[in-house]
Amino acid sequence: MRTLGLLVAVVLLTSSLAGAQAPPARGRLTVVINAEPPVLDPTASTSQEIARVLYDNVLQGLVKFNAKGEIVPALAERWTVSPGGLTYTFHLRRNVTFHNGAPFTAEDVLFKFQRARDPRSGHTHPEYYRDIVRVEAPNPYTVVFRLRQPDSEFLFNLARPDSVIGPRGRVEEQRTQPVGTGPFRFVAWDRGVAIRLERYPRYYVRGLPRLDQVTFRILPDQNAQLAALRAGDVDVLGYGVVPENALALQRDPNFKVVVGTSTTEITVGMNNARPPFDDLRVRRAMQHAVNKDELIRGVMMGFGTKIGSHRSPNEPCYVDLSNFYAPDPARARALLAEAGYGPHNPLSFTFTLAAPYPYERRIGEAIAAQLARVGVRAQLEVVEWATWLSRVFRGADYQMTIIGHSEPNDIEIYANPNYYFRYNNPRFGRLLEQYRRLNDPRRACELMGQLQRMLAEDAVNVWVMNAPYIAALRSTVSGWWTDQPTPSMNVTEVSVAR
Amino acid sequence: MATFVVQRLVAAAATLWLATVLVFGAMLLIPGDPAQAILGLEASPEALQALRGELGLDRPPLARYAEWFRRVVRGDLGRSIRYGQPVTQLVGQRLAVTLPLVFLSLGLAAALGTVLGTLAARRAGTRLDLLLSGFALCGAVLPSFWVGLLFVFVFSVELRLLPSGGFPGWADWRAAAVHLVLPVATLSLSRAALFTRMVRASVLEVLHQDYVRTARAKGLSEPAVLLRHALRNAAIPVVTVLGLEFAQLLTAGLVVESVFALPGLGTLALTAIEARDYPLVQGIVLVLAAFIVALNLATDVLYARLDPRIAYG
Amino acid sequence: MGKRGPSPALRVGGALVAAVCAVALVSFVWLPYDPDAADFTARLAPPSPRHPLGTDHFGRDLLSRTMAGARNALYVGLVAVGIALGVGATLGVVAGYAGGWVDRVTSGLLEALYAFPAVLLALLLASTWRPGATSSMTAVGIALVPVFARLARAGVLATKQLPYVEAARALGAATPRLIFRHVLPNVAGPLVVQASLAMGAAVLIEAALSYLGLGTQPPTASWGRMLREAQSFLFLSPHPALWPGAGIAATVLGFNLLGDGLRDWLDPRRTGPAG
Repeated sequence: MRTLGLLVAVVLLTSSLAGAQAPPARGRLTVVINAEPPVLDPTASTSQEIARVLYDNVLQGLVKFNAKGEIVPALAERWTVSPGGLTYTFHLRRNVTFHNGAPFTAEDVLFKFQRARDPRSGHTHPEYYRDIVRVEAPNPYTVVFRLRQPDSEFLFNLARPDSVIGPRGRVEEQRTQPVGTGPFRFVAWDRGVAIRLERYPRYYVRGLPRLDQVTFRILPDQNAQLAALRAGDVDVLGYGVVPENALALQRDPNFKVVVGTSTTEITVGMNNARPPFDDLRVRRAMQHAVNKDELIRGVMMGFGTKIGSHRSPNEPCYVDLSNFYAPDPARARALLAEAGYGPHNPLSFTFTLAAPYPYERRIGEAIAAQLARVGVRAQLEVVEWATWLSRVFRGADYQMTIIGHSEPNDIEIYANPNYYFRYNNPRFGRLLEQYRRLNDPRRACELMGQLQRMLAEDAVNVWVMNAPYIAALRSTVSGWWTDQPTPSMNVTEVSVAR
Repeated sequence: MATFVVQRLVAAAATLWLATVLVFGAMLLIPGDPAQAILGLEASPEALQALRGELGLDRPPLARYAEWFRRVVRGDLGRSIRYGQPVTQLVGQRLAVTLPLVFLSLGLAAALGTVLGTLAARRAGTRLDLLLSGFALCGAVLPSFWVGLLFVFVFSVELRLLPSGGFPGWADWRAAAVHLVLPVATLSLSRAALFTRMVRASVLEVLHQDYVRTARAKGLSEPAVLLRHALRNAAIPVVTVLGLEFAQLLTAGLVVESVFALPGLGTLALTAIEARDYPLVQGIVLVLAAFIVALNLATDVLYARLDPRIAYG
Repeated sequence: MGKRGPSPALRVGGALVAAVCAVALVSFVWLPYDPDAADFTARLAPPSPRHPLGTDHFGRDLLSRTMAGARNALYVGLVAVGIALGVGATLGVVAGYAGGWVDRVTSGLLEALYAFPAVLLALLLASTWRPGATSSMTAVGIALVPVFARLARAGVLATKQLPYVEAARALGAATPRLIFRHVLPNVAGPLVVQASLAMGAAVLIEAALSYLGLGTQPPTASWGRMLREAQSFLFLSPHPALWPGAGIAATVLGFNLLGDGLRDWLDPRRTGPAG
């Protein structure tokens, strides 16, 4: 027993020594991304593709999400919250420099939040920052936020990609030449081809990053992705690997397939303000007609987790409502009959699919087939992305559609009656406001549960599943994030064995 | 000849103008908003409005077209909305990939087609004819995305001889050429069938014309008949198609470009249309139209050379 | 030499086209299963007595889908080639025959049209009508008009001055008669070849457009889309790619051989194979 203990101690010691002597950063990595970001500044556009490439790799805020989704220090090494939840004090890290050489100080934080709070500045999501009354800098390494009212989401919002901080005064250039404080420095954006990063030697965490160069290559075609990985031209397929490719790669010892959770709710959107889905009975009939298990097994080949409201299992205060409506064709038919639809007057509508999203398009096709079994005719219509954005998303000129909502913690979209679901329930808005103002985490969680339940009861949409996060790596690559608590391909701790 | 060329040049300018008007009108009719494409799903209405104002999209279409036209006359194609870079720069970069791809493929397809087509015509109706035509057809029968992937799996994944895609730029011309081998092979295979059919048909046609019979009767050797008479006349449809094929290849090249992840004009055009990047779409179409008009002009002149019976219009 | 029967090309091509047409016709009256009915428990099943060609990734019967795909392919080809040939040949013959400013205006218009990206045209039609095979194939048809027009015009220019045509004109033959009796038969050869190729190309272009969401809309079976979908599953099960591939091959090959054979057979000046 004693020898064993000694052995364990020796092993631990050697392994920690080995860790301490880990070789300095070497190697280069090529990561495939499915789509090109429109700009390279997450404060200029809400496109998730930007954060995927740049969040915490190049650009950082006061706090950030780690691989588990916890909020951890970034540019602030610690912070305190006043008992009433109205004052947040952040103590900034010293000796941090931006990639252009300028030192990072409280001035940069002040500039950032002044811009973020100004709705005319073009900063994304100014509503995240609207409770801030004042931001003060008593000294160059302390920043104090004073809030109008308690906000349970405040810290979460500061960890979002929208809250990253660049050098003061630099706004326009950040869109194409981002300068940040992260472990990697932006090198070049070869339009339509790739985004290249390289190790920032003065990064404030010693020993990080482990790679010299990272190239994010834009390659939308799934077959071309698979070929490039197999041919050894790329090292990682960053996200959105289709299930059949994941299965094929799982059989190959040269590759690892990473399957984790994401914050993407694959949502069958229904226009709650328009026939036929302005009728609760019809919306509930849809819930019973869709068999989520069958979709996960049959279409996604077992990848994905079924959900029952607009929240993902890895998000805080998640309530499992996936069995709120059991798959029950008979019940669906009965509800439809109540609403006046039957064999002689079948329910028929247009189901709009967005062309660029393979998971959603395929699931949509399968749902149409499931609906056909209860006598519902969903006429499929595939439209290209810009058309979807303007017709469905902006104009709400649609009946049913399907899309993945990947922004984390985004239940507040249901409080907006102009959002494309056209869900208008003032009770939901009031409850959400109540939740945000609570300074008691346990009680807040209860309210978050009620919010999820309210959506399920109103059957606003059919929430099919939490999309799996699937990436594929060459087996020599390690340190890749398994889950996506926020859309991010964090390469800070990624390394390549030789 | 001089008046002919002047007339053609005036017509060419009119054609270019017409093409831009057509495209501008089409882009107006299609739903979509470039500001939303840039700012993303969750953009606030204020931000969208501000960006639209900045891009000048809130002004009446006619004024926008007029301003674009005034700039183009001065040689400025404007800036891309999506990328914020000058359109000429973006198009120039992409042409450096697409032009070699298209011309190499076109040349290879035409050469292959001429050889196979002539052979097939000489042996028309025999098994060799059927075999050659069948072989040429393989390229036309299989979709190019399929052929491209097949090549990638054989030559990149299994044999590891050639890269699976991408383009390193012309700075290293050897590497660039290596990256073009599979795309050119794929693209030319998809067009070789057309040339084979064309050449076969017109050589057959010519072989039955009186002057060929006369030449034969005069005792001219068969290769001489073929070269001097048959092929020269057979070249007319090939030349016609050559000009037309250029534009076709730019479209067909789109699929090949996306399979091989080549940063060419086709994928740029697709991105531009998807992002509703008006200046970029307009610029690409203008450049394309200029190429097509120039090629057609060259074709017409070549015609006149090849076939003295054609008078200048 | 002398008059001969149909060439092997004509026979093989005719047989293939007839087979595809027959399958398409049968599919209107009889199909083993509903081609759109999904069965997720039987997905990617290999061929068996129940499903002679197996099933696809949704468990749909591939025999039924391949049969239904035949009528879609013919429809797609006919719409595209019909528009391109009809409009293109007319414009080309008129331009070539009339010459002068008519020719110049027509040619300019066609060139402008040619520079117009087909994808943009397809998008335009899809957003003003409804996305689907009809809108996309009309777009392809319009995009192909210049090809046929130029071929026809070139043919007319080349034959207009042939001695026998000039002789006919000198003898006072009316213009329509001249065009139909003397000019068109000479132009028909390349046009038929082009049309037969375009027939197959249309099926392939439809597949590419479906990829962008502009072609045949799901769940309707189209060979192009079936091939595109099957391609993703190639490593798990290759058979779903086989049947639509074979269908496309048979159709394209058939129309090409038929086109060639027909031209040889119909050409009044040709009495036997050369060489």
